[in-house]
Order: sequence, then C-alpha cells, then structure tokens
Amino acid sequence: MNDHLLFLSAAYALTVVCMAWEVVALRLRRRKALRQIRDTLEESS
Amino acid sequence: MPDPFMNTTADSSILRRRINLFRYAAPSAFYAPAGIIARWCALIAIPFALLGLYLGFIVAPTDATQGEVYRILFIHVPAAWLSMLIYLVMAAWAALGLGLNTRLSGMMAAALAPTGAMFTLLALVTGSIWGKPTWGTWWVWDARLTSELILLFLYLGFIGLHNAIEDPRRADRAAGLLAIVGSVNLPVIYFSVRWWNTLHQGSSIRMDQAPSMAMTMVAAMLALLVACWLYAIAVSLLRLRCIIIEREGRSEWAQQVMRVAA
Repeated sequence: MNDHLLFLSAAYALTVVCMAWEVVALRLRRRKALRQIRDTLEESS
Repeated sequence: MPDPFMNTTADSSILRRRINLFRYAAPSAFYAPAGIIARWCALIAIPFALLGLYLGFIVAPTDATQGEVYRILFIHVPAAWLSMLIYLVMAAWAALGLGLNTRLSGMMAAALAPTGAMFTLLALVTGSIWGKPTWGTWWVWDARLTSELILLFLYLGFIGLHNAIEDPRRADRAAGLLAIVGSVNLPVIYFSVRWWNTLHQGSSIRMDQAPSMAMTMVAAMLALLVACWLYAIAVSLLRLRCIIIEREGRSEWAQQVMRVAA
C-alpha cells in the first residue's frame, strides 16, 4: 500500500513540476523578449 | 419580386465577418486576443482541475484489484489524449502554413510543440509509474508504448529542427513538413491496441460503447481532461505571444505597444 502511494505521489508531483516549469520558462522567455524590445526602443530614442 | 440569392446586404455582412476573421491571421492583430483567451482558459482550468482532483481522490472509491495506484490514470489518460490531439492540431496548423503561406500558422505550430512534448513525456512516465506495480515492469516494447515514444521523438525532432534553422520562415516550413509526415503515427497510436495484441489495455472510454469504468472515475478523468486541455490552450497562446514578440519586436506595432505599456 505504501508503495502504491509513493508511485501515485511521484506521478502527480511530476505533473505539477512539469507544468510549473513550463509556466516559469514562458514568463522568463516573455520577460527576455520584452527587454529586447525595450533596449531597441532606448537605442533608437 | 426580389431574388433571394441576390441579397446583397446579407452577402456583404457575411463578407465583412469573413474579413474580420481573416484580420486575426495577422500576428499583430492576434497578439491581444491571444492574451485574453489565454487568461480566460487558465482561469476556467483551475475549477475543473480542483473538481477532477476532488472526484478522483475523494469521491472515486479504491479499485478492488489495483488499489490506490489506479488514480494515476486520471492524469495519464488526459495526458495521452492531449499528446495526440496537440500533434494533430500542430500538423493542421503546419499544413495551413505550408498551403497558404501564413505567418501565424507556423508560429502556432511552433507554440504547440513544447506543450505537446510535455504531455507525451507525462503520458509515458506516468504510464511507466503505473505499469511497475500493475504489470510488474516499467517498460515493454509494446505497440502502444513504442508508437507513443515515437511521438515524443517527433515532437523533439520538430523542436530541434525548428531551432536549428536561423530564418524563422524557413524553420516553419521545414519543421511543418516533418509534423505533417509524422502525423501518420497518430492512427498507429490510436488503433495499436486493436491492430496488435498488446500488453496495454484497450480503450476504457469509447464513443460506440458505454465506459467500462465507474461513472465517478469517468467524471474525474473528463474533468481533468478539460483542465489539461484549457491549460494547453493557455500555455500555447502565451508561448505564441512570446514568439510574436521575438519575431516582430522590431516592427512599428510592437514598439507602439511597448510605448503605450511604458
């Protein structure tokens, strides 16, 4: 029974980690892209 | 007597609506709606996820033969369905991009690939975690498992090829072609349990039959499927916005958006 709960926890923990990682990676990517535009704007002005 | 087929007012309103829809084929026009749709999908996904977890962990009883470990299926099955559905949608966008040479289609396909790869990985790993206590092994070279693994490689191949080509439009075309060719794997995954004698069980939920599971289990699975579906839409649209900014950041409209936001 304990093994079953361990397997169950591992599966759901992996799901949460994957989804959280994807969201965080997206936020970082967006921030980087926006910073690049801001830099371009500052250079041009 | 007026000819009903010559109703110019109706014709022009249909045409206007079509033009309005085509307007969103431009990345600059779709950028703002994508953000709104993503936000709503993420918000609606939360209650569905909570409902699915409540039904799956509190309402659904312990399985008589598998014990508690069967609850892995509430996330494994939605992940496996989405891995195939996302690939189908990705290949459709890629085909549209190749056929009509629209910029947004290639961006859509590129935005869907990482989420599809993540769901494929989840389906494989959660299936493996379920397989160990149930089948007594982590992995078998069974038709369903092997074709799902090929799907993961197709996603990784799409992402790798896209990243390897510097010109984004050429990358869209090359990776799009790979996505279209790879879509032959989808019917193989879906029908593998019928075509071959596999260790993987057949479908528990089918359109032509009543489900072979208890209704509470089906409800939990469907609620989590809707949650995962909405999550996939939200994340893909957010990624699409990143891609639009990355590719069109130097254009006038993007700089205007930044000026307004600043």
